Amino acid sequence: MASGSGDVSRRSWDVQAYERRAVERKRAESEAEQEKLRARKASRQQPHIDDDPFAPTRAWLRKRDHKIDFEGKVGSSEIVGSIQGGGFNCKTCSVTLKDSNRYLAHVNSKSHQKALGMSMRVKRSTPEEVRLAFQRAVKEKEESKQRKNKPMVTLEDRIAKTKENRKLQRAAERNMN
Amino acid sequence: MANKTDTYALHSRGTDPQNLLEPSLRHSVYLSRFWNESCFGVTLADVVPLAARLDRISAVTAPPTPFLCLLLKLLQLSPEEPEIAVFLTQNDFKYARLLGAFYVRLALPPPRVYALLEPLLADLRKIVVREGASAEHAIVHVDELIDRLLREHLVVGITLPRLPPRHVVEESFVQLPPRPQLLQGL
Repeated sequence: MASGSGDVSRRSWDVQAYERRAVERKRAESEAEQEKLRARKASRQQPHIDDDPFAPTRAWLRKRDHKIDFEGKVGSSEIVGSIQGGGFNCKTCSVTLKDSNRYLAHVNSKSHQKALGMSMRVKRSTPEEVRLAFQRAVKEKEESKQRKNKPMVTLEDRIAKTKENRKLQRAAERNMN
Repeated sequence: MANKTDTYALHSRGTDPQNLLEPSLRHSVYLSRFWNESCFGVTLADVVPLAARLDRISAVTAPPTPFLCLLLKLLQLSPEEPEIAVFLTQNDFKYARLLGAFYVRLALPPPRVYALLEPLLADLRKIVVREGASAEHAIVHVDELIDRLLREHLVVGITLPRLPPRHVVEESFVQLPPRPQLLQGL
């Protein structure tokens, strides 16, 4: 018989302390289990976003609030890094796309929208929202018409105005001196 | 993914509403710049300002016209009757009205098509229409186009689903009353 294996009798254990630890662990485990159950129950009872049981878990997809500027850098030269290379760079996903079509496809893709926290589903409009949208469109049309109907500023008017301004400026300078 | 039909879409013609537009038209729209740039992520209310800017009815695909893109967008969003009726009842934008009319003709069941489109026969305004890539732009009137929508199966190059004649619909669907005659009270 190997000498070390029967050597247990010389060691002593604090049985009570181990028992306390075992009881404690059991209690913590069952508590965690209870907590999980409670959370699951609560999540089931929680009213969904917008009271819509079929609403997406991520945010509703929204229209882009800006126009993508593809032509802005036409005719200009730029130094590009060797890693980035030339093309359209998406900072959110840290990718560079070679042309505008691919860039558009990327920005409209699910992976990009997911990175922005959006789902790929659009909210449905109510008839009232559509009606309001038409009212806004009418207003916009009228405003653009008014802008067009503004009286034209002729060259003579502009020359006269500039002369007037210069005169005033000179008078002001004279007063300063 | 961006081209998927709305989850709530009613397949009232027995198919995905987007399939009501021919595949060749549909796929050219999916690749077009207007579709990807301006039509991405828009709701029905966001379609309105785009529709208000339309200036002709044309379904030419080189490149796809905004009218065609917006028609496919409507099919994708697949609004129900109360929402699309707002497009038809408003009086300020004739092309937005016709866009709604095309959607109704494509996606809604026959009795509703007659009920919603017949009132538009009173609209006599002029519009610019282009029949196809080989045709010139022509000036016609709103009521002419609505009349064609109710009678023909191919309007401005868009194939429309079969629409039974009015008397057949009247006999088979109880929901459609006979068309009110303007001379009835005389």
